[in-house]
Amino acid sequence: MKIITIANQKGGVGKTTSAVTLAHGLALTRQRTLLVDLDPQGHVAFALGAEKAPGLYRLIVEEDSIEQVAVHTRENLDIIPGDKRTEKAKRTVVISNFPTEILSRILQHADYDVVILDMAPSLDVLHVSALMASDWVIIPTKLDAMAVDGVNEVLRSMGEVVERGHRLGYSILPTFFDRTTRETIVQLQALVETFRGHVWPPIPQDTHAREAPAYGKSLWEYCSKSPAVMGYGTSLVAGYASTLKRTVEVICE
Amino acid sequence: MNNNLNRRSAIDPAVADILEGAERKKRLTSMPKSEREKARKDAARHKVGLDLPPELHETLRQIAGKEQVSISSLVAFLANRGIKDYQAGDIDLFPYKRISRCARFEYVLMLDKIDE
Repeated sequence: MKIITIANQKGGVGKTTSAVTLAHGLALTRQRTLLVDLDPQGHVAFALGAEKAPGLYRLIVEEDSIEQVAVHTRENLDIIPGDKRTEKAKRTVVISNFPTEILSRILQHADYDVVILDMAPSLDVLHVSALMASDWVIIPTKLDAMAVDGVNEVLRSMGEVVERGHRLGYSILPTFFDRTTRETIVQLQALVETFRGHVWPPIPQDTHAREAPAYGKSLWEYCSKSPAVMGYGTSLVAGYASTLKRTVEVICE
Repeated sequence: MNNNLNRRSAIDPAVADILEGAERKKRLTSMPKSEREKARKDAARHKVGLDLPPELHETLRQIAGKEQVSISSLVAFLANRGIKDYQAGDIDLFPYKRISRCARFEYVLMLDKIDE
């Protein structure tokens, strides 16, 4: 089982869209996938047409099992939904004996091929606990200076986790890519200069990605031929289809 | 940043492709209009590099000179003609095939057998 965390402390960079799209994409490739919502906004359930629920709260505070809490949303895709009680769960984590190991302990017996953790836009104890449980971190980022700074913050947290002896790989996923804007290209070039092969092909800015959650559909269901999925025009080099391909490579590593 | 996080130095080919496209576009927009048109035409050309025996290259050069056409134009014409014959079944490659020593290909075509 591989655990992949989707993280960036900056909000609005496409974390949940990336988490939902990749999780359903993996499920469609017959990987038994669990998507865990660690954000009190509870948007994972919303994006997949399910109800917000205190799934994470029940796992951490009431110590229910994953089987009891998981909600089956699609073939091969279960979710642990979140809601505002996730915030209370965080407080429980803080006062627990081994706060940074709590997610590793909960997920160690999860019966799935892949677990995807969708983080809240913050750097808290749950964040560190997720990194400790993970094999790989995908860092979505808008191509602007503030969001790119968020990438550095996540990498600092990852550095701390690695210093504790945990092996952790990462990729940076540029989102909201607008090829006509100079700043977008400048920021992408800067990212590539710094992070080289860690930068994955960008996800084009696409209205479909904003519309799909309103219908409770993933992008694969709502518009699988959209630029956000297939990339721009004839050059099928970017979009979630290529992200999915690279994620599968990570899982098979 | 922590040095223990492994460094991947090779840029993802798709990312490199996007950056190269953006760089090309930037170069184009900074050119005068006349040069921009020429650069666009050049970019639209499809250039390939092929391994040809020197004597074949020389023959092509001579014919191109005699017919007052470019070598590219001559090769394009002859290749087109040859492809049509091949597709019509008028050319059979089998008698010209020899097992290749290169791991990537099964056979190599023997040009000197054409004259036999």
